[in-house]
Amino acid sequence: MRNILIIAGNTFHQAIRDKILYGIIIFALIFIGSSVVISSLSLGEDIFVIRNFGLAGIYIFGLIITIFLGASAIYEEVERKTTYLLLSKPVTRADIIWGKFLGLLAGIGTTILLMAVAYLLILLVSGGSLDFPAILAVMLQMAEVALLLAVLIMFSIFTTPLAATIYTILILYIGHVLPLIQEFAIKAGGTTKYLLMVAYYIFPNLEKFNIRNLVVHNIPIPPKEVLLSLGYSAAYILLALFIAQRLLNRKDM
Amino acid sequence: MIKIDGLTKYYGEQKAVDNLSLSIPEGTIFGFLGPNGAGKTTTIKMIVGINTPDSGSININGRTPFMPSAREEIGFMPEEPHFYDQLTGLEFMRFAANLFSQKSQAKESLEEILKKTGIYEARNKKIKNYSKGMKQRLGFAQALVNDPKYIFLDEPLEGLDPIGRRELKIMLENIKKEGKTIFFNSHILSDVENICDQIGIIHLGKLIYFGSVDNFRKDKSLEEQFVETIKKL
Amino acid sequence: MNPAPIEQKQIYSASIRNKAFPFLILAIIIASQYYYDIRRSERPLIPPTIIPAQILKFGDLGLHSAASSLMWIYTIQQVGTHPKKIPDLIKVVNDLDPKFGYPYAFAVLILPPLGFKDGGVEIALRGVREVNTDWKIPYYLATTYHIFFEDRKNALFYFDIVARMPNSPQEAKAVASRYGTSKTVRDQTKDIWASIYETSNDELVKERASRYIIHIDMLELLEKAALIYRQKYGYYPKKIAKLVQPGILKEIPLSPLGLEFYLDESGRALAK
Repeated sequence: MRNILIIAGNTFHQAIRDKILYGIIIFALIFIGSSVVISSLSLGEDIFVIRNFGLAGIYIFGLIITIFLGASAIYEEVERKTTYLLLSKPVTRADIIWGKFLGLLAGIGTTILLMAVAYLLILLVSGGSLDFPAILAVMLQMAEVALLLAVLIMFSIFTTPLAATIYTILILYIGHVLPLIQEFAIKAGGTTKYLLMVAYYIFPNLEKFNIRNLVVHNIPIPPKEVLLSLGYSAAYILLALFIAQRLLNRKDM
Repeated sequence: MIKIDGLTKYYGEQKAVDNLSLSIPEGTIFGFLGPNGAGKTTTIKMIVGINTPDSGSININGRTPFMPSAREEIGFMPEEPHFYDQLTGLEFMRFAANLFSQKSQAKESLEEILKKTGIYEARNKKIKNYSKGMKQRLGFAQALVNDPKYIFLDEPLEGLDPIGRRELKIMLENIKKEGKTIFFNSHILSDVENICDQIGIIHLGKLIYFGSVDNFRKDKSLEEQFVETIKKL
Repeated sequence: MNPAPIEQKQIYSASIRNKAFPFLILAIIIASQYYYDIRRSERPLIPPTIIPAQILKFGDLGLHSAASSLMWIYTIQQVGTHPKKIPDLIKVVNDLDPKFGYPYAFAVLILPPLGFKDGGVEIALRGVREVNTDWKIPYYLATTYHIFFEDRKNALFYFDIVARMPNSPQEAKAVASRYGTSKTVRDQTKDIWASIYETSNDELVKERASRYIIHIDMLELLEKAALIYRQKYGYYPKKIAKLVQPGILKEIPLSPLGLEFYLDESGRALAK
């Protein structure tokens, strides 16, 4: 347990010092800032557009950072064999997986926090009020991002970093169109319906973590659903990292 | 003592290590020699607990290295070590030291280890700016953070200039005087002639000689005798 | 050993050429872009592509409301250049985020003058169903029924809804609850537009409202002038141009709605 935290701290430091990360963050802040300019074209719906674009920006750039940090961290371990230095010490493969996961999550969380603060300030300055529901939306985004990170780590144990990235992006897309797939399945019927419903239940349903469309219309979100989504994310993370651990145990470094 | 018994490892259909048995007494320097691809790195990775053998056993001071707690007494320097290059040398040393339990921490400070290995000056520079030779030295330094009784080195002289090689060899002899056991891989035979108490020669996964240097080379140089022996097989 | 003077000069000019080359290429690039931009005004504008909302939902990673906002801003840009495409574009906006209220209200006010009376009403009716908290949708719908359909019954129905909505502003409630009572149609229309002007943050809508108000003011002005004429001559003029004389009008005003003014026998000002 202690070694997991030490590895996590080390991973965090390593991730947070990457210069490319700063480039991405600057782009993100520019994007969120520009939502003010774009919203002026909306014929009076400024606050609505700023909230929409601000939250979308935090989401999209949060994903970019997750995939970037996740892929480069795993590449580092696997291709450049920094794991030899770890595994010859009192460190287990499980320590490495959980340590890297927590460290990367901390790094990603820090950047998302930064973007969220920028968003809240920009909204206040543009005449909106302190957007508490948006904070909830960002929290659920963290749960989604953690899930994707765990999936990315799992994939990178047995494929190249590039392939793992592509698979994770596919899971991202599928995860958000699952509700549409469910609709389609119900209409289709027959074997197609069963196949699609199996896919519906197995693939992670990322729309669970998407409350943005509700937040921008100030529609209240039931707390039970939020807890359910967090639990769903935790369960998936455990599954993905458990599989990752098993795969890594069998792998020769 | 380090005891290896019937160690075998397959990579696919290929036997990378074939029924290897060795016994290395405490407080000695053992040189594991052989051409590239002979199985030296595969062997050493199993001895330090990174990979598991398909059959056979390894015993270090009565314990198997596959238990993490057994690795408290081990130091390992991989071939061409790679680090987290956004960290400084000192930060990496601290990270490595923290992975051991309190009682395993070296009595001398990390700075002193860095001084001994000759990279103290660069301790606050990011590792991505280290030269190959500096990385070798850091690789050796991090193997010492837990004051290990057993030190394993994979091609430690690689990438060092003649002065660096000499310094490292002197350090190995000093460490031996402290009672530690050293096991290292090398394919640069001329360097190891003088420091090894015993050598083992591996070829195509099999051990073809185990014993003293003099017994092997007789009146030739180590390198000459080695090349002749390999050619005969 | 230094090269001979002539060689030195050649080396020197060669290095100048090397240094100048990238700047030359850059100048060519800038010039070609400039030329392209000048020519752009001569090329026909490309009409907007209408991608159905269902397809957009596949690619937007669940960011439906943000996609709707983006589509909304895109739609607004097309009002000036491709007004005929507005109904289809607004439909995409509505499909992506049915709870986004303002586009419904905007559509029912802006589309009828562009020739889409029924289309506008259809959009607003959907809006009233989907977003029952946005007062502007029934209000603008009622306005359109009043002005473009001259359908007082439906106008009253929707003004009634606005009057009973808790969050509708004072100006709107006042006009809505007074609708159908004493005032003339023209006065009512002017009140409606005035309330819309006061409660809107939308430059396009405000501009539309002020045009109507000015138009109505001009009608009132012309009727006042006609009265003065009658007092002077004993009858209303047949041609409106007759009102331009000292003591009455300096000139016949131009309607901001682009309509032509005329007078009927009883001195009422109308437009066509």
